[in-house]
Amino acid sequence: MNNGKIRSEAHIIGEEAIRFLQDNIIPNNWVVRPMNPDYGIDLDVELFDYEDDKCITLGEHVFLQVKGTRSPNYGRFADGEKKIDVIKFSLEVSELNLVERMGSAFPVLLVVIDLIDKKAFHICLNDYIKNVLLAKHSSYKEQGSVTIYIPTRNVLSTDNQEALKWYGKRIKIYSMFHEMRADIDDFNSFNIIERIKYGKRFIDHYYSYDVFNQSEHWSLLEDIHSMLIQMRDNDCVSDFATICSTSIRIY
Amino acid sequence: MIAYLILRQYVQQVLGYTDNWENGTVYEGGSEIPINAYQYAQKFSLDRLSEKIVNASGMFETYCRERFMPLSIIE
Repeated sequence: MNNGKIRSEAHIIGEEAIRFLQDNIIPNNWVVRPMNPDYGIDLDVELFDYEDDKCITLGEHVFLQVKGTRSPNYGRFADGEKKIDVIKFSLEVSELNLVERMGSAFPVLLVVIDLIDKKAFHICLNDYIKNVLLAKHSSYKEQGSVTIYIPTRNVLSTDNQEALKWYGKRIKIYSMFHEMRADIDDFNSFNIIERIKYGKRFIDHYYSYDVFNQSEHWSLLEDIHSMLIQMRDNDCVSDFATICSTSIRIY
Repeated sequence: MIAYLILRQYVQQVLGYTDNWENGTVYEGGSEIPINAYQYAQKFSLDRLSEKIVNASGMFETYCRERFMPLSIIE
């Protein structure tokens, strides 16, 4: 006979994993909201950053599914000469179905925490479903659970929250590209004079987008940003320095 | 005037962008539109910017996938 209500081992490990994440990985100035009731997403993490010594919300969120383990299952996969170290974790298909329904609108990261070695690893489930499960194991839904392979290089730590920052920004980059391309399609119906007029508005609108604040993440974003700035400063003409230096050669 | 000439030289000789630009006029959609060299440089710059954005948006998905998820993890 039990002397009271029993707390399952799974709950203890789950809470320990979340506590480890909050205490050791998520910066103190970010906001972590536990999802309650929990239907597959454990935490909503809202990202903040300092601007002029003030802590400002970036309007960026990542959802986390946090899993702890005291018996981590590490392995290695070979792809030709390339070998990749992974940690394996079994996830219920119902949890993946939730993420699939969400599409790519909200990034959901699976964070697996090795509670023995105190290490955390991540993988974006939205991408994993699309690029691995649906692409290579399309019958996975007939199973009760699926083994997820997370590269061990995908580490989260006190000094490395790069992935959380990236995924928080990613949806904004998607959205910006979507808007930009719609605007560019509109341009094509304009004549040159109109295109220049709307082009200037386009540049004024986009050059200050905050996705460019972390453009060191991706060099192509940096290229676009520097071109936008150049064109804003030179009345919609890019490479003005090139023009001037070339003109010296011409004349 | 000098700026105009510089830009005209730039557009025509450096960029080699003379296919539909002649004597300050371009033809678009069957119409003749007067345009100066500066406007042509602006148009060229916007075309380049658009091309860069379209290319980058197409590569973004691949970049996202490969950044944290090498496909070689698939058995």
